[in-house]
Amino acid sequence: MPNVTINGKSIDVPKGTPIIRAAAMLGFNIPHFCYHPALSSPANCRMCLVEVEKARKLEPSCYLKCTDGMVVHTESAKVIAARRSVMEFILVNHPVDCPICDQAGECKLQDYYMAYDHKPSRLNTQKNAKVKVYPIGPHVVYDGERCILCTRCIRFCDEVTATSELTVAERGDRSYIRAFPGKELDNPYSMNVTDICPVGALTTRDFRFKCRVWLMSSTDSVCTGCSRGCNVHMEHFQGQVQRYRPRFNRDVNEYWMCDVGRLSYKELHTDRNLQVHVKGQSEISWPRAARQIAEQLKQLRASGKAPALVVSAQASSESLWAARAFAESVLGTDQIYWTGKADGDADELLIRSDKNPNRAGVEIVFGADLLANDARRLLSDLNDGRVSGLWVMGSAFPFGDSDMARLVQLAAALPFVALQSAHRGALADVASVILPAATHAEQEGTFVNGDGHVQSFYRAFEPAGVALPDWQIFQRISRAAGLAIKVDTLTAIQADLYAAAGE
Amino acid sequence: MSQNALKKLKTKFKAAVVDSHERLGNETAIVSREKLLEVCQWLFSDEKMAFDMLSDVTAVDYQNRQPRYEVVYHLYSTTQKHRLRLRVPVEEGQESVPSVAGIWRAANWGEREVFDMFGIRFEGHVDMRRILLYDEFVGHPLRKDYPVQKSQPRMDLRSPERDAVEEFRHFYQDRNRPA
Amino acid sequence: MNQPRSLAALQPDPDVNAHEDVMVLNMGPSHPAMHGTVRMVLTLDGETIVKCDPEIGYLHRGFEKMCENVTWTQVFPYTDRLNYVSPLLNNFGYALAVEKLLGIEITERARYIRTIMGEMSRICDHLTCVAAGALELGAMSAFLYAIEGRDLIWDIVEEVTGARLTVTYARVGGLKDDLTPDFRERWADVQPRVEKIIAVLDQLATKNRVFMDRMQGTGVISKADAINYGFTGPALRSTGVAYDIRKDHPYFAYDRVDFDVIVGSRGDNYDRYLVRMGEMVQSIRIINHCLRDMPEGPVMVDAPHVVLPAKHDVYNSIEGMINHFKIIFEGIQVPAGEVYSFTEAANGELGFYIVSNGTGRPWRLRVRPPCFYLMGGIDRLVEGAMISDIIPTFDTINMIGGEIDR
Repeated sequence: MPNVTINGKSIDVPKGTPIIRAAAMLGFNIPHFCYHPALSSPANCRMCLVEVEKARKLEPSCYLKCTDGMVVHTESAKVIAARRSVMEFILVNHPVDCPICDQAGECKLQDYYMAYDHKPSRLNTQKNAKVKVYPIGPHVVYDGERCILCTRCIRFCDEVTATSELTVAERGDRSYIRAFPGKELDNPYSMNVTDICPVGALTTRDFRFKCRVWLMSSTDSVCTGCSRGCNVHMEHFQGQVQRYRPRFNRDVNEYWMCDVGRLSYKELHTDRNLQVHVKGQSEISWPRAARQIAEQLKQLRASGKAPALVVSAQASSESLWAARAFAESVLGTDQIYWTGKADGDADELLIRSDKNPNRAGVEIVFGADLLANDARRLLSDLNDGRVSGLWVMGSAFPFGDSDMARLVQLAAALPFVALQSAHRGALADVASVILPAATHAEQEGTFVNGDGHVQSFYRAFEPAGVALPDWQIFQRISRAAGLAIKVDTLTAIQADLYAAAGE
Repeated sequence: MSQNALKKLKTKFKAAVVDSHERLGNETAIVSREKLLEVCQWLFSDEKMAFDMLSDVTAVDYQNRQPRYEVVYHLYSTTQKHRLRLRVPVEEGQESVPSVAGIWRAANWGEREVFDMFGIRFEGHVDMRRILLYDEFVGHPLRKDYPVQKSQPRMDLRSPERDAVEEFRHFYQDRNRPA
Repeated sequence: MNQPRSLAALQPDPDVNAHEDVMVLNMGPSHPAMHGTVRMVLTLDGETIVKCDPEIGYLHRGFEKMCENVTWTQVFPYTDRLNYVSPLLNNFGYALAVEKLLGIEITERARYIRTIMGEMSRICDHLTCVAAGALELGAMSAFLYAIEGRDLIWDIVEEVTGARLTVTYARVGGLKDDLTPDFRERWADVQPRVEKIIAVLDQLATKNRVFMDRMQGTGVISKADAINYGFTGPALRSTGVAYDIRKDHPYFAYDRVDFDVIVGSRGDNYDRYLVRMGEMVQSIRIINHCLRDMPEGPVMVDAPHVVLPAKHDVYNSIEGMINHFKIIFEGIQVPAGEVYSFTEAANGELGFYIVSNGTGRPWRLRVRPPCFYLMGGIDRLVEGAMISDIIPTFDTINMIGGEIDR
């Protein structure tokens, strides 16, 4: 383990650690553009230059590995002067785009200019004009003038996705990034290059000009696109999610997320159930509806026609636990099915074929046997008349159009269909009762991903309309029925859940 | 000159002065709550200290650190022309500090404002009530967990039989009755 | 409702002995003499005040809470609205505090200009105070003369800053703009007229029998009490304590100009009035001295992380653009720390206690309002006096609602 001294502090580091990592371990931030911990270090930006004793010149700390007894200074006069020169050089041809650039507010160039370079411009000629607003891929837009040619995007495509679409074209001050002729940046992870781009050269078409960075609040959450459960920063403004940005998690998704998952935030605000709806009544409040439903359930239970519960693999584990207690105590049924989105493509990187975030949660709460009672079984049981009513959590079914139409037709024939979900979906028109549920952005809870990691997500904003988290809906109905189940607070649920799961 | 004052204070009250600094030329001593009255009395009556004026008493909410609050006193001597700042850390949940209004009467209103804005009570203060806000105000606004845009609950009138609008409606109805 | 129809129908409350019991009288907040809205709950024994309990807070706008949510530069418009009759003094007091935390020194020219404009604001404040005081004692013409004087100065202030009252003239590191090119001519034109107005005020009020009877011997406070109550400014100097921050702890250009500190002796309303009249003359002296000595040069210090770059650089170079962008959107990055900075405002020691956590927004911004502590001692001033003595006392204390309530 070589021992390296940086700014007077010493540390033992594993062999092969670049100086920039050792400095970060000691708490010293060295500015850098082209270095990224997940990618190779080309040392072409020269911003991370530090003074290493016994070296003739300043060394790039992203490339130079620590050797035993190395002494490094990151804030000496030479280093400060070097940083200033590098900033001036990069800014020489940089367009005056801050007012219209999406990266403003999270731009490395801005931050480092204020921290390391206060000199005004010495330029007295025109800046180089390059291609702007170039659609380098279906989701990504490239701006040649803003690009500082750090090549992070090229290395990402080479090393992480192994698709190698991008390269530097031309040379000198005419260089720009482009896809190889005949190719475009269309791999399933293309939008990650906009995260790693330190300036506003690569921007997503989805987020372009959507919202200013400092207006958004960030909440830690989890993507619900598939059972990988990539950690995200859910960035929202005024109750609307504006984008997902991947959050680093060493065990789950590292620094990346796929494009489909990144755009899955749009579902949070489309086709929502906003009000409680009981068939035949125009407007109804939660307490009245809860009482009516409780009454109806009592009658159904007494006449032996208790509705079956259909749980969703999109729901949080806490909601599933509450659902189980609800089925037992209030519905009085042990006829439980599970549903979710249909399986899809997978790849070796992040994308999983199971497109539900919490199938593992269903398995833990209800036992592995329940997985056999899937949506297919539900459809066939409905067909055979073995189901006398439905309480459906969620609106996602793994069916094509014709099967879905069949499901709706069969459900319409039932005397009682409760739809408890955030989205309307196809069943909304035939449901006797619609209970608006909150999406995962509007509640706290946990998902269990496909590898067994329990991941928490947090509440970003108030639920839309009068929606409530699923477990709170169960709590209300059960209280109205006089059969309060033990789901009063989230922590109580979690305590029970973890005790039962033995984890 | 204030440096000497700080030095003398630290020598005399070694246990009470938890910390001190002289940054930006502002001599500051952090004093424990139990010894506050003793320290203030000495600062007021000692000839060399002669802190006869309490310029200001206020508080700061540091939110995510324990102790959460600090009550800050700014003292000035009109004769010696030196200044001193005393900071008294106050724990969350034990928001109470001895009142120095017996020593400097300026603290009467100053401490009322600290109570109004932060909820820190001053023991021994003769008139501990709100000063800038109305009595029925809920909460203490300068605490960091008080949201900027919070609404206050509507209040009932203190004497509805006299002031309620319904009463005035009778008045107008009487007037409009045909003769 | 029970409307009495005749005097005979009025029934006195049998439990109250009108000759012996004290009466609680409410004065304000809507009262012609309670300017700035303050409510005085008076416990009266006949005409004599047994206890006076002032209730403030009618103009409380949450200044300190708002300042925790805006950047350092965005606080300046809020400081205008503190002591709104002398807004420039508030601006400069706050700017000085932030500059202390940043550790930067403003330019020479900015020092002089701040002194000049501050003294102009002080003259306005004293004119307003004397005018309102005279008006409420019945001397209406004195009020009109003084307001004319104030308006003359406000014309100059408007030419320099763009507004009469809500000036927002100071910036961290200097000032928004330099003085107008014809400032000296304008002042040469205005100064003799203001001096004449002060002389007329003096003639009308100072030796006026009614004025003297109302003001002398009323609202008396001793030296020791004044200090103990935290009095500063003209109220303290009227008791005989020669404490003027401009002399004792000079800032801006006050250590380079000649002026006298006006000190009274009896601590009554008359002395407070005389101190203010004397200070106006001294302010004019300070302004003239500054105009003689003021050097040419920039008004904003050369500190790129604090001062916005010139617009030409902002629109034409990326460096200027980034600089401007970051300062505006994130605020000036003030190093973490605390400072108590005090200046001599028109009413006394205006203190700013600022705690910074190293970001572009203040963590805590406390304003020490001079008239807050003056009002705290008002019950001592009017105890045992008659109701009519409240009027001159309240006037010479010069409580400004914006400052005391924030």
